[in-house]
Amino acid sequence: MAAIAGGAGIGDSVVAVTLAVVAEQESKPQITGSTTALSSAPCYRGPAINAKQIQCARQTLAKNALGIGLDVAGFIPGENLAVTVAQVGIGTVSAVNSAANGDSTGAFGSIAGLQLAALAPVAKSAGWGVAKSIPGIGTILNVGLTGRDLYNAYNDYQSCLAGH
Amino acid sequence: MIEETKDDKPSQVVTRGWALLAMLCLSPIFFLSIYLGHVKEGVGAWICTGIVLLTAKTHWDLRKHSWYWTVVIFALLIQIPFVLFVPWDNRHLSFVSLLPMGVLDYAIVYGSFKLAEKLMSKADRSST
Repeated sequence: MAAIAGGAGIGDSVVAVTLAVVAEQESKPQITGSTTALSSAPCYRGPAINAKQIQCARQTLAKNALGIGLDVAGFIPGENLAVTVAQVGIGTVSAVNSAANGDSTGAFGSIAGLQLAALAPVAKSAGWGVAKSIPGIGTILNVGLTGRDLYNAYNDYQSCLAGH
Repeated sequence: MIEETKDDKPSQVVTRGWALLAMLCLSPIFFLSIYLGHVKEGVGAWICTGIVLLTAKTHWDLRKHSWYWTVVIFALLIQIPFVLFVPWDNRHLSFVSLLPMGVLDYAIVYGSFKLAEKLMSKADRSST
């Protein structure tokens, strides 16, 4: 700028302005430095996120494995003795799980439910109308509760990732 | 599978596959409840609607009567207490734990259909 004020030629003044701009840019090295630091950051964040994902997946599995396992077992096809035994088994595990967690409603519900599941084939052979529909009712309940458990598992995983 | 007995018509037979398909068709209720943030009530509404559908299927041969559809609407309305008061969000409850509730709900809806059927057949007889 001093060169322009001193009455020098146009070529000299252009060189002087260019030099001034370059000097101004060189006087802010910290901005360039921080940009470089940001661009290298994802290289370090990647493995940390993966470790967190694995940890959250394990945590979610530990919390929801029993519920989802019981739901999956409820989808065993057929209506023979093996299925009845499986349903009674699910009821027993469910009753123990509810009792262990202090849930008396769940424990009593499971005990009543396993008795119903065990009596269903007998009632059906006796020709009781409602008993014929017990497998259908069971399937409807199982589908609904599987949807709920999968949604809960997804929610647990997301809240773990969010750090809650 | 629920076997067909002599007195069952093919349209009234409910199999596990049919129940699965019905729940799949009703799944928008569940997804809508997630969207609206009422998952507990959504699961209840999904299951209770499935039970009403199952009962309606067992009486499908009566669908041409207007009272059949009145009972279906009545059955849907009496599901409200089940949806609101059953602890659907209790994680310790498996389908076996909720089976007594499901059978009770089914029995109430089934009884409503049978009662309406008896009343209507009596009314028909008295008019002829």
